[in-house]
Amino acid sequence: MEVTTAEKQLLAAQDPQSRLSELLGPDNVIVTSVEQVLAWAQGHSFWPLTSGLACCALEMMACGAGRYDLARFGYEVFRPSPRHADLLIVAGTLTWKMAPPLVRLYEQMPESKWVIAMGSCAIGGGPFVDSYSVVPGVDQLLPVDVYIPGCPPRPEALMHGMLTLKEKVMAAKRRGGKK
Amino acid sequence: MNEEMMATGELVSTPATIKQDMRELRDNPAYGFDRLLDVTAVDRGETFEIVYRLNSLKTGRDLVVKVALPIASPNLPSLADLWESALFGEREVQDMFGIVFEGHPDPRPLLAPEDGFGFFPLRKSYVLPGRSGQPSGR
Repeated sequence: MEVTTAEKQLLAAQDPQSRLSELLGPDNVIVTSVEQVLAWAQGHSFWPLTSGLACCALEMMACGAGRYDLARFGYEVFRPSPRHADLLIVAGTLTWKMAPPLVRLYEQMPESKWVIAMGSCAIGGGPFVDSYSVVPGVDQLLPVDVYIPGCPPRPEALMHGMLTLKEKVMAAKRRGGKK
Repeated sequence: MNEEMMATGELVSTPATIKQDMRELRDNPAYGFDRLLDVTAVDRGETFEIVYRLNSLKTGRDLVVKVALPIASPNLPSLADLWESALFGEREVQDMFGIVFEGHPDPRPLLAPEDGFGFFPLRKSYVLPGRSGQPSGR
C-alpha cells in the first residue's frame, strides 16, 4: 500500500516518540509565543543585502546559484535595497574609502538586522591588516553577529554561518533577549 | 622640443613651463600628442618627479615627460583642461604624494577617504605602522 506524505505526517503525529508529536501535543495544537514565532520566521528567511566587496562575494554568488542553492534554507532573496534587507553579509576587504558607504547601508536597513563578517578580511583585515587603507576588521564599525573564517570561505561555510545565525536568532528569542 | 626628445622619447620640463610645453606637444601638428595615458609620481628623496606619459594616435609615438618638484612646495598646474584623462591621475597623485595640482576642477580625494588619510602613503618619509603601533619590520 502506498503511504502519502500526509499520512506519514499523521502517523508521526500519533507516534508519542516523534518530534512532531512533541510539538503538536495530544490535540494537534502548538503553544508558543509571538516572539518565538517571529524568531522562527526571521531565522528561516533572512533577506541578505546584495552587496559584495571582493572575492568573497563570488563565493556568496556561487552559494546563491543552483549548485549550492541557498534557497533550500530560505535565504536566497538577495535584496538590492537596504530597506528590504535584514542581513548584511560583509563579503570581502573593507577599505577606509568604502567604509562610510557600507556603514550607511547598514544604517539604512530596518530593525531587526544582523551582520555576518565573511572571510579573513572582514574578520580582521586578512593579509592587508598592516595596510594604511584597509579596515582591520569590520567589527570596528558594525556589530558583527557571526564570523565565517576562510580566504575565501567556501559556499558551504557561508551556509553554515547563516544556519549558525539562525540558531542565534532563535535562541535569543527563546531567552527573551532583544537580539 | 627638439629632435633629441623625439629620439629618446623623453622630455624634462619644469613646473613653470610644463603647461606651456604640454600645450605645444598637444597642439603642434609636428608632435600631435593627443592622448595623456598616465600621470604618476616618484619620490626621489629630495624632489618629487612627476611623470606624464603621452601618446599620439596620429603617429603612434610615445613620450615621457618628467618634472622635478621641490618637496617643500609641491605645487604644479593641473593639465585637466588639456586632457580630461588627467582628472583621475592627478587626484591619485594628490592622495598618494600630497602634490597640489592648481586649477584642478574637482580636487576631492580619489582613493583616500573623504577627509584624506592624514598622511601620504607613497612618500618615502611615510613609515607603515605595525599592528602594535610600532613600525612594521622591513
